[in-house]
Amino acid sequence: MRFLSLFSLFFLFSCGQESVDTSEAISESTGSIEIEYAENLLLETTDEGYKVSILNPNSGSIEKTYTVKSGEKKKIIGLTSTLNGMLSILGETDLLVGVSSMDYVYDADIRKKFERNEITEFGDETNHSVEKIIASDANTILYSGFGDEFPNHEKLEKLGFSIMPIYDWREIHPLGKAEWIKLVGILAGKEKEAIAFFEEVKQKYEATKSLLVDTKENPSVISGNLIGDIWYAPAGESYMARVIQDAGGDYIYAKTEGTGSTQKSIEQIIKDNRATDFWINPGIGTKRQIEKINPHCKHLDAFSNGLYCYSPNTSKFWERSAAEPHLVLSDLIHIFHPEIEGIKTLHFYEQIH
Amino acid sequence: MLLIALPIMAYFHLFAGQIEIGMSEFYDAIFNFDPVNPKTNHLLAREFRIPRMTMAIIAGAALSIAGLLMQTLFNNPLAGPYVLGINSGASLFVAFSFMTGIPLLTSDLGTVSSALIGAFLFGVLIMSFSYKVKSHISLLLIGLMLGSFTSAVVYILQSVSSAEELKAFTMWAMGSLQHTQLSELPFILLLFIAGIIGSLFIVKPLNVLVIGERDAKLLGTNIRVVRLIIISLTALLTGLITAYCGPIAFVGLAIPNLVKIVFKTQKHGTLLLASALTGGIFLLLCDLIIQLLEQHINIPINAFTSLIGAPFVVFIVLRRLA
Repeated sequence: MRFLSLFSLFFLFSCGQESVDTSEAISESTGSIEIEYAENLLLETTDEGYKVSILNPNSGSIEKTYTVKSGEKKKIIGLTSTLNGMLSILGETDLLVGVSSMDYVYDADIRKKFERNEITEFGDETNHSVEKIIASDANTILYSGFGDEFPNHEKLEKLGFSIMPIYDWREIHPLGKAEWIKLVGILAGKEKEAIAFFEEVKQKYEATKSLLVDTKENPSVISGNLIGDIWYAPAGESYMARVIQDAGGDYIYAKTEGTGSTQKSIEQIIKDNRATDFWINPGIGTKRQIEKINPHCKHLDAFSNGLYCYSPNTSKFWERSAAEPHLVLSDLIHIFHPEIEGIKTLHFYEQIH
Repeated sequence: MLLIALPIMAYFHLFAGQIEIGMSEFYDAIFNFDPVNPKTNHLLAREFRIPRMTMAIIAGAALSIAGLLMQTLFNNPLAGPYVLGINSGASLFVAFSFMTGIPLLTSDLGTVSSALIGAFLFGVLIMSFSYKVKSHISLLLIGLMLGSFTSAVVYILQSVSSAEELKAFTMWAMGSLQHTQLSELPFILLLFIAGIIGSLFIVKPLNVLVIGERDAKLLGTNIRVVRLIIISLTALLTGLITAYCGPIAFVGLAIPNLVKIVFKTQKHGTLLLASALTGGIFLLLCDLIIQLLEQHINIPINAFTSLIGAPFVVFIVLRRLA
């Protein structure tokens, strides 16, 4: 048994060398795949296949570079929900060896595979078993990059694992998040399908946005909730602020600087938002629980009948919303402008009661 | 001195904050409040500033009195509801109430009841250990172990709870003075005053306990009854504050010691009142600093009291060794 384990370790190591991602191993670029919106991703073609560069969202410089052979299908441990959703969209969940936790999985296909023991839970990126990863069939780990580095990344890379930080969550443009499907396409050997899917999403996003051309008044919108004593709302240049504005909402903090969040005291929130029409993304799915952490929320008019969140569909939202931002846009337009006839249903959002 | 300092600090606290609210607006918020269509500043004064200031005073006073009672009961200056695990008991039972998902338990009344029961049971538990353990240090270690044990149980509960239950509990555990509403203040005040009056009723036995339980018995004190009353009062005061403000560390330990250093007396009438006033002033000051720093950094009240309280406890230990 011990011999077998050692043998598999050696086997993994020797196979993995081909895809070890050192700069020496990277082939010369022969062209590039167009990246229109994503700011943290570069894709180039090489003689053998593709060169993938992940940019650090803080510095803007290249953080890691990888080579992927054309048509090669990676075996993936997906610790980030959004890219698992993209694998599902491309019909390649067979490549998924593991996820962080089934608690965050919406996709029925992935759930079935878990029941058949074809997919394993590995824990999140800060709390996982290295030995479990080594013993798996995977050769690629996709993680969110919330921390600095993936724990034990040096050892795992020596064993042939490609460990990719996925910064789709740091993208500001809604289509920037969606564009990361091009990377998933390359890892799954379905780059053409991925590019075609993105082009379709792009058109749908613009088409959905154009439904607003005749609207005259935009309702006011607040987003976020209290954490401790501070309300964290999306800053004016963030992804959510942009989607709200694209959906014809007048975001209260649209003029604040930054791409992350802006902090407000609850007193300031009450002063600015007593008469605000809509409150989205409180992060909790029932009014009773919202009142539990934020007892003063009843002083916001929107709490009565303008409260919407994706919380009842949290896993679905995180898995699908990045790849299909037009559906998020469609939901928000339907909420802010119910008079627009082109939209009939909500995909992620629900009114909170 | 303390009687003058408290209203001054309360005044500054009331007018601190990012929104400017004038004296006349406070007056109108109290006496000319329009409940149907209130002005924003009236609402802020009435629903935010007044309850927050009142809770700072009540929480500081209640935890300081609870700390003094524990220190006298165990004849140990390092005793306190936080160190001896009373807070942990309240937190554990609140965690149960949050994470069961049963509406009755997750209601406000359920949270308060859970905190009171948890605080009382852990009070009885630590008291029963005190019969077996004579060393002060050993008892403190047991208290710390109770805290570690409950933390582990809470951690396990968190890992099996839903995301929303976890979120609600985490928010509560950060501690806050501003979640209390004006409508809740009468109930809180009622229990707080009951705790204060109860403590004043046992001033004599407390004074006698200082000379040691054996001598107190010889002087005719019914130790068993006094112990039960002290544990009940501590549980009431600690559980009440833990339920409404989350766990607040070190106030109960640091303030009575500070008062003893300043007043140099063992008369519990004086110590109780001085601890209550100093505790109120201390928490008002902490919350005032938090509000001033709010634009730059968000510090939970629990973290801030620990920041000040922990070094002070080290100072007490060093002072005793010297």
